[in-house]
Amino acid sequence: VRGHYKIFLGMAAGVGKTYRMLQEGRAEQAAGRDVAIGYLEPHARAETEAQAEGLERLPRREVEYRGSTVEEMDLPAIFQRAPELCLIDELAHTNAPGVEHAKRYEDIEDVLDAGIDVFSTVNVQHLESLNDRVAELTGVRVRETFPDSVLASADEVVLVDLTPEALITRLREGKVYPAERIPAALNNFFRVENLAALREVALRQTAEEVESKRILPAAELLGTRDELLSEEAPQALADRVLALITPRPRSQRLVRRAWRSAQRLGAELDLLYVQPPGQPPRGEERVQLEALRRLASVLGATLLVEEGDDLAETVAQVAAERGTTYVLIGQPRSRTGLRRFGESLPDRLLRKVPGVDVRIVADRSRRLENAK
Amino acid sequence: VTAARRILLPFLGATLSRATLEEAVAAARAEGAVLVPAYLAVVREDLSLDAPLPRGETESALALLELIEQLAARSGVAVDARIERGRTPREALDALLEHERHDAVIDAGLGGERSIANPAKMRR
Repeated sequence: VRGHYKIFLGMAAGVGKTYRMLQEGRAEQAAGRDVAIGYLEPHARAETEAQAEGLERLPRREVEYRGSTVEEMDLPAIFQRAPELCLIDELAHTNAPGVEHAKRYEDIEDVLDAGIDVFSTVNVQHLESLNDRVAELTGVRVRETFPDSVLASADEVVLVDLTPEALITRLREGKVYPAERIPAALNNFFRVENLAALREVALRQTAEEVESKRILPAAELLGTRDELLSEEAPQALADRVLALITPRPRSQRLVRRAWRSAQRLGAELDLLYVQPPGQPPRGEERVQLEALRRLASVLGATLLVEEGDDLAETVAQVAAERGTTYVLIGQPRSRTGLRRFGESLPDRLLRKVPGVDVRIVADRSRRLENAK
Repeated sequence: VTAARRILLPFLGATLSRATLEEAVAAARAEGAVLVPAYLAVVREDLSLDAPLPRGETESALALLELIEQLAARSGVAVDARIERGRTPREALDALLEHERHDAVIDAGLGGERSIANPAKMRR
């Protein structure tokens, strides 16, 4: 039986993920469970070290890498010790060459497969699908990433939250980094606006994880009680993303964003071009539509072309047929594009397809132009 | 109406350097051209050529295209990105040249030294 996987997710270093993991590990031990630390990165933080006291630490192993010796988690030692619960810090860590796996989250998979429960920690900026977004928000790109599927496969995701102001206070008090690193950290990554953006990302990510896990037990319940409800349940349970495209270059980016959203939701992706009746795309538009068709094929999405005078009406019809739960639209080029006949397209969509989330994907090139 | 010139910048997963990209952006900017960064996906023989790309590879490709768009947009260069599949990089490049008009191709190491080439001469 695969072990139980619990991940402590935070917005940045210093919010207390490792502390919380150790705290819960101690509680488990106090409750009579066999707990051991597989790997701990205390960063010389006194509070963290104190929490680790009384918990057995498994030995690390030394690996020669580029002429020096680095310490890595000792996976065979964990198997040999085989505790009930193993605490393993920083799942996005990249191992030195020569050990079983390139990444620590892969080591953790083996530990779970051996029937050992695992508590682990990670910061949200390491999540692959958020890497671009976080780099865009903060100007800092992290190299150590992990697939979204790791978070999705966890039995529990616990958000360790702290306000940006409180985290900065902790940083100033020397509770996160040693004194010599504090000024640089404050001037670069640890700015209120960066941390606020990361916090929002972490909160949203956790909310999506909670939502996806909350829905599954409901499905089981519906299937066993009411026949009519159970017939409707599959449509309501599977997420499906619909992205509205036009035969223009900027739709390429919209499709890429939609694919990423669909991946995070574990959803199928449909692309819809609503074509004016009797006006098939010609010339450059035809070329662009074909390019979008090829992109859809590469991404495993379905491209639909429907004729219609009324965009919102056509979207509503397609959304009903396809079981759409999210609609993504691009940022209109002009105000008139967004608002016609007194009601904006997002408002019309929300009215026409109730219960479906509508998201607007920003046009990055325009934003950058405006920022100049 | 004259269509904007299109400068194709094909690249494999890890072959695109910042210097190449900057040169491509500068060339596109100088000509008022559209930059077409194109990720060439090599599909293994045991997989169908029409099958969706593996997720990991897709994510890498999309992240690179996103970054290229950001950098190009900062320089005021319009971008029209592509992903093209083939059994070999050459086959994917040929498909790109077959599907759409391109006025110049930046040879980012696919055919040896970096240079701007005539697309007609790059076709097999």
